Amino acid sequence: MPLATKRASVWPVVAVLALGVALPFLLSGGFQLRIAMLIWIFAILSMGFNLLYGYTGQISMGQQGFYAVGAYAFALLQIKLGLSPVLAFAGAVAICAVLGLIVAYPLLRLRTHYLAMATLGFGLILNGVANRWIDFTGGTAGLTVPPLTWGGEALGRTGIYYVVLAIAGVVFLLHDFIARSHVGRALQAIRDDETAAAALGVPVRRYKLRIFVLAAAIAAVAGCCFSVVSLRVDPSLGEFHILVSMLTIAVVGGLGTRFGPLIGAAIVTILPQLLLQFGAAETLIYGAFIVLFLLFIPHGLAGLVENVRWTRKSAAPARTAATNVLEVKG
Amino acid sequence: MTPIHSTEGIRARRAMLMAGSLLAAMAFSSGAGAEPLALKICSIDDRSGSAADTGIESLNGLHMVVDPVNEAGGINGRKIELIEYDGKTDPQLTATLATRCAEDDKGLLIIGPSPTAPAAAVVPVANQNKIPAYILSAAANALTDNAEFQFRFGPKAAQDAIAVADAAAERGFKRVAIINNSVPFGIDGSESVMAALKEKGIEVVARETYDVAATDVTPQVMNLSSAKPDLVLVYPYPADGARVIRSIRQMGVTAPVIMPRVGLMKAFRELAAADANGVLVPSSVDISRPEVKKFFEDYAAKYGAVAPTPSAVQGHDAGTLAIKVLSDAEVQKAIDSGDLAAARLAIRDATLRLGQIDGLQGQAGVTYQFGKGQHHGAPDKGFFVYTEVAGDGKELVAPDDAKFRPAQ
Repeated sequence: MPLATKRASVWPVVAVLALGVALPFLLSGGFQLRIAMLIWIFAILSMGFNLLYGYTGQISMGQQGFYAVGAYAFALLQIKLGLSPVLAFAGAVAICAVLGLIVAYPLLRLRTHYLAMATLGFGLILNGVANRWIDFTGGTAGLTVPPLTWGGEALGRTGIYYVVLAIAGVVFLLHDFIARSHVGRALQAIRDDETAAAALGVPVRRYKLRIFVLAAAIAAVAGCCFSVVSLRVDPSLGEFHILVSMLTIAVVGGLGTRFGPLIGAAIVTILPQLLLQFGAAETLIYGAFIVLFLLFIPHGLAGLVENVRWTRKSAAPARTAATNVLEVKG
Repeated sequence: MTPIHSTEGIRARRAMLMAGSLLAAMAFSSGAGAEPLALKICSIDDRSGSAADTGIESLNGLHMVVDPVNEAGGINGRKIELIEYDGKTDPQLTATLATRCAEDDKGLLIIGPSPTAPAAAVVPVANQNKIPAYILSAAANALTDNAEFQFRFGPKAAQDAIAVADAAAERGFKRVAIINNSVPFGIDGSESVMAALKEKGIEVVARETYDVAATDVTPQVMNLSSAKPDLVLVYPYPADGARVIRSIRQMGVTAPVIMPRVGLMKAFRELAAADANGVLVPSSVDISRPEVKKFFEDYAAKYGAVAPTPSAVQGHDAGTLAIKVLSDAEVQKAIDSGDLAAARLAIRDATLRLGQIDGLQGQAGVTYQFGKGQHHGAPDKGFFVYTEVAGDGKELVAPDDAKFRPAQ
């Protein structure tokens, strides 16, 4: 996986967000705006996953569980406690962060596929609860989420888009900051070799715990955004296909890259819509497309771009995450 | 210099006049001659994924009503355009497709989906875009509470449960055991029937839940068997349903078995084969009705033989009401005006006005009950009949009532 560079500029991120601001003026209808919102939501979700797995190497198969908990908490805090959307949002993120801490504390002793299986179990438990605690979660039919209002009127689709964009922008900047900072390099050092990272003074356990909690909170943010857009939450938010979408985004966009989550989310959201015209062959074509990506662009589209840059610098001595950490500490 | 200025002035005035005339012409043309709307209906249902059978059959049933109308020239000379989307049993995708139908395709009406979760995801889209949605078999009880634009053709879970509890009470069953899979259909179905049985004072002596992918359900069936029930209720999907019924037979449980909805499905009957014999199924499709029999004969001729499941019939009935509504004078007037929002509202209102149709679901003479404040079409009484699986899973026959009794 490519390493983040210390001197990477924030301006590409700002440019992407500026494009996001202009998007409602460039799109032709509400459906396209919905697709744009879904891209941002999946990008948010995948940014948490990217920090956790792409940068830190901690594979969590339970991110969809936090996504669902965030969405349900956002809905329930409004429905049951009558909180405003802003307070419900803060509450949902806090609940997921605490839940993430509770889960991470014992589970982060595990590594690789053991951690994957344990977190998958967590996701399955949450999905079971969403389906079976019918009085609380609404069961299969889920819950209706009150619409966002402004001045007593329900916010229109463009208004909702800018709310989602603003939230996505904050997460994107945070993701980018971590990726470009010494924290990102420490995380990469943990990913590459935990023992070596610890030997170099990286507080491995603390970083792993923090990034797990942050990823859970980011998943909750995505869940809240989805609730705002769809006005509904149901158990499907915590199902396996959300995890598959995240993994596909990682493959297509590029794991451990700055723009991978956004590029991957755009392709994974738009491509199925374009392939609808192929009818029953759509799934086949989509699957073939993913296989081709795995074979020929294993680091994803964003990884491809960063690899090109690294190739240009091939004359420079090879660097590893560990040397980057040493440099920061020194 | 003056002549030049004068010429430029004339040119400018001419240009302004031309632009003004053009704008006036455009305004006149758009106001006076708005194009009538195309008769677009979006069929959004699950044609792949775990509920693929229901979506395929409902679409075929819909085609069986719409195609003859189109072949005869359409409604007032305009053909109905069916836009078909596969929701893949994914609520989020289904909601996106519904938005595409409402906003990009300019659809007048959505027909589908069948399962509860995708259907529930369509409801906010229908309300936001004020587009009527004819939901098919979604069973969640609250789906049409305080409904605005959604209508439901299938029975709700509580009605399934009431039909089972009524049958159990009428026949004197006292000890019921329930086994269900871990997916929403199994959980919701068993929860609803437990409530209905409780109202009838019938004891639930055992309830077992198994994972839908479990290859061995013997422990759960052993628990059922040891509770000595006089009636067993099974809420599975087709493949796991076959495993459950096989275990029930192997364990020597002799109590009658009721399997709502899934017992009718071809996949279950083929997998269970001889073990499926004697399974009882409450169904909204009364195969003793001549028109229902003819429908399934025509269906078989066009699409291949299919078990008389509610999905095909629901697609047919939703299409029948849609055509009746689209033919309504008020709706036609709104469609001719080219005003999409007005046309959708007119369709919603006409559905409430004309919704007491005699469809293929329910017993003979029982009609849908759509009307003001009533967006759920199936009535509580006369909507279910019992069917028995026979002929090693190949046949569906009227049940032998003598066998449908508690063992003495």
